[in-house]
Amino acid sequence: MNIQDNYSWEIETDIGNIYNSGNTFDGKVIRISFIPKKLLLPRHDIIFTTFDFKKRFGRGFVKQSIGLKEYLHCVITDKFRFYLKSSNGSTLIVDKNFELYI
Amino acid sequence: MSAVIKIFEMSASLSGTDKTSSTARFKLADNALANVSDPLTIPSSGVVVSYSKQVRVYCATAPSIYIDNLLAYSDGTNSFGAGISVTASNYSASCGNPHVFVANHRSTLTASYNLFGMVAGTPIDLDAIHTASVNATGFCGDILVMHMIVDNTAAPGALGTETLTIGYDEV
Repeated sequence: MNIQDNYSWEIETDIGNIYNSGNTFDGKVIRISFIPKKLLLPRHDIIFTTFDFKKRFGRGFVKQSIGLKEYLHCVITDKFRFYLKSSNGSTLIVDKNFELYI
Repeated sequence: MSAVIKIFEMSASLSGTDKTSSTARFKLADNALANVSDPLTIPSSGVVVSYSKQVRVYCATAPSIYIDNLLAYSDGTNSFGAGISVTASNYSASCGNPHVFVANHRSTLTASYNLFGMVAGTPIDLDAIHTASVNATGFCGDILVMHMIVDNTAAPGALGTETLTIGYDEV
């Protein structure tokens, strides 16, 4: 399995819609989940309560002679930014404007 | 499914060679072979400039929507030793016409960066010229042109490897 496919994601909005692709969502996002597709990786759920969803994207790092070294899932909210490393399931919560490159 | 991004070496060939999992070697020949032929020589004075290594991002599996924010950077440490530097540019006007592949390119880049000065916080923007949205398979982003420059203070011998990192955002 490619490292970028170690996790799938799922977004739920307040009108009950569930999305796992695209970047426009009807309603207000109330949950985003990162669901491991590989054994021994943790699941992560962000429940939007006192903060609002802004954007979701992935960020890949291809190292020449090594290949895809890491793939981050990123969620931007109005209060913080969430990064998930696909390789090992670890997470980092940082300032909403912080760009992580590794 | 997420996009699959590869690094292609364009040296001598516009169609390129997949170097995602293998190395590129600076040399005195315009080809993508990472062998011991045509090594760079240490000059008695002045500098010797390698033939260019030109790399470009190749999208092997298309993203569900698009990828953007293509960039390139090094680890910031030049382990090649004294007297050896690597310059890089995505501004292809420095070797002919803007964003045009040029074979047998060996002249010094005029709009270039020290590759080891380009780190994660200050990367080379690889979609500065080729700004089209990447939503299909094929080459994308700017061609990154690199030269190794050797001066007379360099020590002889084979060099170790350095790692070029390509970053991208996927929606």
